[in-house]
Amino acid sequence: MKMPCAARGVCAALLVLLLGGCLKPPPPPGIIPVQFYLSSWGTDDKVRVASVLAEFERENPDIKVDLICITPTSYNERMQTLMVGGVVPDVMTVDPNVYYEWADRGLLEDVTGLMDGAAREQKMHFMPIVSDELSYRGRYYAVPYMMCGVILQLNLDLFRKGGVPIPPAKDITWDWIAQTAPKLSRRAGTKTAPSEFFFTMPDMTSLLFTFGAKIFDDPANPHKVLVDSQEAAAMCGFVRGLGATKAVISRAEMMTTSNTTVEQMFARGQAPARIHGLWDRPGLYGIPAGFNWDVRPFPAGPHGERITANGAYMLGIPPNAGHPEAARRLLRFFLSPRGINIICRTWEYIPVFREMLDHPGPLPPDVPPSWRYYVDTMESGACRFPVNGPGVAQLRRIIDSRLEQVSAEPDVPIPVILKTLEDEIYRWLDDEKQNGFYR
Amino acid sequence: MKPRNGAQSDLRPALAFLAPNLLGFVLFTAAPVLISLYLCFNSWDVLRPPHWVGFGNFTRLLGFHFTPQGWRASDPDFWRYLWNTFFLLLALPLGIAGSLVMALILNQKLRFLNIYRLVFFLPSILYGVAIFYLWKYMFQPDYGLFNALLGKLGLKPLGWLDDPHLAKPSLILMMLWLTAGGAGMIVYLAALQTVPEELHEAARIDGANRWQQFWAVTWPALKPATFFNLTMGLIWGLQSSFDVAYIMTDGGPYGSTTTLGYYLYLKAFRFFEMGYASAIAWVIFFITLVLTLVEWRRSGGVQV
Repeated sequence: MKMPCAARGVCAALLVLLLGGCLKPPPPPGIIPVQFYLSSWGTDDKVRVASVLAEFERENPDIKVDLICITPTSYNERMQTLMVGGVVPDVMTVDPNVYYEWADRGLLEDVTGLMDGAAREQKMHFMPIVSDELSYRGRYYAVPYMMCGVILQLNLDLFRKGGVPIPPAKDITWDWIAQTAPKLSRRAGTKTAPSEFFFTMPDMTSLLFTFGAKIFDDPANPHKVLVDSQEAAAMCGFVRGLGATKAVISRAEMMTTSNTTVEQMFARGQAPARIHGLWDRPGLYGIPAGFNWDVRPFPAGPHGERITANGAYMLGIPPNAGHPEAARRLLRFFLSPRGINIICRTWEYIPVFREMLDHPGPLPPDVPPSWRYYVDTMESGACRFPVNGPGVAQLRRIIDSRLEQVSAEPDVPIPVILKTLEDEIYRWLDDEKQNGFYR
Repeated sequence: MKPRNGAQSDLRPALAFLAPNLLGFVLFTAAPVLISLYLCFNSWDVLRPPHWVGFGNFTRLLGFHFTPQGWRASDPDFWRYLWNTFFLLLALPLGIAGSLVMALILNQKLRFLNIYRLVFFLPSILYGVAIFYLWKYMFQPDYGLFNALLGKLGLKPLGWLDDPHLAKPSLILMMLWLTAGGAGMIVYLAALQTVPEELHEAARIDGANRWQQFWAVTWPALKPATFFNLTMGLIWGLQSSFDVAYIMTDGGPYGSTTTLGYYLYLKAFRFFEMGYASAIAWVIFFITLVLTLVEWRRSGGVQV
C-alpha cells in the first residue's frame, strides 16, 4: 500500500517541525553565547549562581550565559562523557575530587595568568587554601568560587537541658567531645539526656591530620605511605573509645543514619551538634528563625591542630571551549569584588582573598562574630586533601572505608587495621602509577 | 515463483517492524558488549585514548604475586567482593524454597485465593529504590522497626546494616522478602498446575502420605521450574545487586556488602578505570557462564 503524496508531505512537515523544535534558536547577532555547566540539584544553588550571572550579564551585555545544571551525584562522569563525546562547555564546575586528574589530563585550561592578574589588580593575596591546595605543580587550572571551612554547630538549648556548659573556642577539643557527648546521648546510657546521639563523626582523613598523622611523605608527589604511625594509632584508639560509648554516629553507621538525617534532627532540635561546612544557613534545612544555636571551631587534636576536609568548588575552562575569551571574562567576574560580594552575601561563603576578611566591602552587614571560626580554619591552611594530585576520590574512599573497621570491629587490633590501610594505599599508589601519575 | 515473491513482500514489513528492536539491540547491547571486550585489554580513563595493555587488567584482577609475607592477591578487593557476591547468593536457595512453599500454599483450594496471590506477588511489583529505602529505614538501629520489635521482646538492638557481620545476612533477609513471592512463585504455581492429579491418586492408593507424595511425585515434576528459577536467580544474583549496595549501604561497612557488580560500577564510574571495569564485567560473565553450564549439566540438560 502506497502512502498518498499529501500524507507524505504532512508527515515530512511534521518531522521538520519536530526536529526544528529540538533545535535551539541562534543567539541574536552580536551576542556571545556562553555555555555554563553547573554541578547542582537545580534548586537554591542554581538560583544563587543565576543571581551572579544576572549581574555579570548586566555588566557584559554582549554575553548571554546559558546555565545547564547536572546533578552532583553524577556530575563528574557525565561531564567527562560529554567532553569525550565532543560536547565542550565554555565554563564548568570543577569538583575537587577530580580537579587534579582533569588538570593533568589537559581538560582544563591554565588560568594562572587570570588568577595572578586578579590578585595584582586588587592588590590582595589568596587565602592559603587557594595557594596551597588548589595549585597543581605550581599552576592554577580552575578558579575557586565556593570556599568554606568545616566547623561545629551547637544547639544551645539542648546543651542547657543536658546541663553541659559550652567552653570557649580554644577549649573545643576532641577530648572535650569525648567527655561531653555521652552526657547528651541516650544511646550512651544517659537516660535523662536530651537527645539520642551527639553528632555524626567527620571524615577520617580530617581526623588523621588533626591527630598529627601523615598519609604520605610528600602529598604532592607521594612515594612513601606513612599512615601506620603512632599518631594514627592514637587517633584510631580515640575513635574506638568514642564509638564504644555509642554517643556518636560512627562512620560505619553513616549509611543508615545519614548526614541528612542528622541535619534534619539538628534542625528539629533533636541532635545537639553537627559538623558542617557553611557558616550560617539556618533556612536551608528548615531551621526555624528563633532556633537557639551557635558555632564553634572544628575540634582540635592533642597537638592543637584543627584540620578539616577541603571544601572548595571551582570553575574551569576547557582548552577547546567555543568562546574562551567570554569564559575568561566570566571567571574574572567571579574573582572581582562585585562577584565575590554576591557570593559572600547570597551563599555565605568565605572570600577567596585574605584581605577581604577585614574589609567590609564584600561581606554582608550582619556577619556574626562566630564567622571568624570558619575564617580561622581556612586561614590556617587547615582544609586539606589527602593527596595533592590525581586519585583523591578513590584515596578518600579507601581511608574512610578501612577506618570504619575501627569502631565497627573493636576486636580487630588497631595495628592490623593500620597495616592493612597502608597496604591498600600502596596498592592505590601502584595503580595510579600504572595510570601514569606520580612517576 | 509466487511463494518466493510472497516471502519477499513479507520481508520488508517484517524488517521494518524488527528494525527498532534490532537497532536498539545493536546500539545498546551488542555494541557495548563488543566495546567492553575491546576495552578489557586496554587501560582507559575516558580522558585519553585507550592504550593496549594485553592481559594486564586480568593479571591485576586475578593474579597473585610473591611477597616476603607469602603469596598475595594482586587485587585482594576482588576476591573479597567475590566472596560477598557468593555469600549474598545464599538468598537464592532460600528464595527458591520460599517461592515453593508459597506456591504450594497458594495451590490449595482456599477462600480469597486471588487476594493472597496478589498480596504475595506485590513485593516483586514494588521492587526498586523505594523498597530499598523502606528496608533501610526498617534496619535503622535507633528508630527502625526491627530494633523496635526487638526492644518490645526485651532483646538488645542490633546493628543490622552497620555491623559488618550482620550486614550481609540483613540484605539476604530483605532479598528473601522480595523474591519469595515473586516470579519464582508464579513459575512454581504454573508448574504445580501441570502435575497430573492421577499420579497423586496412584501414590495415595499405594499408601504414600503427603510428604512422600511431595518427594515422589510433585518435586520431580517441578524439576524444570526449579532449574529455571535457579538459573535465572544465579544470573540475577551474580550480575546485579548493584542497586542494593548503591542505595542501602554504599558497599559498606568497609566493603562488607560490596558485590562484584558494585565494584565494577565504582571502578568504571567513580574512578574512571574503564578497562579494568570491563575486565571485571567479563570475569563476572565467565563465572555466570560456568555456573550456569554446571547447573545445566547437573540437571541433565532439562527442557524448561
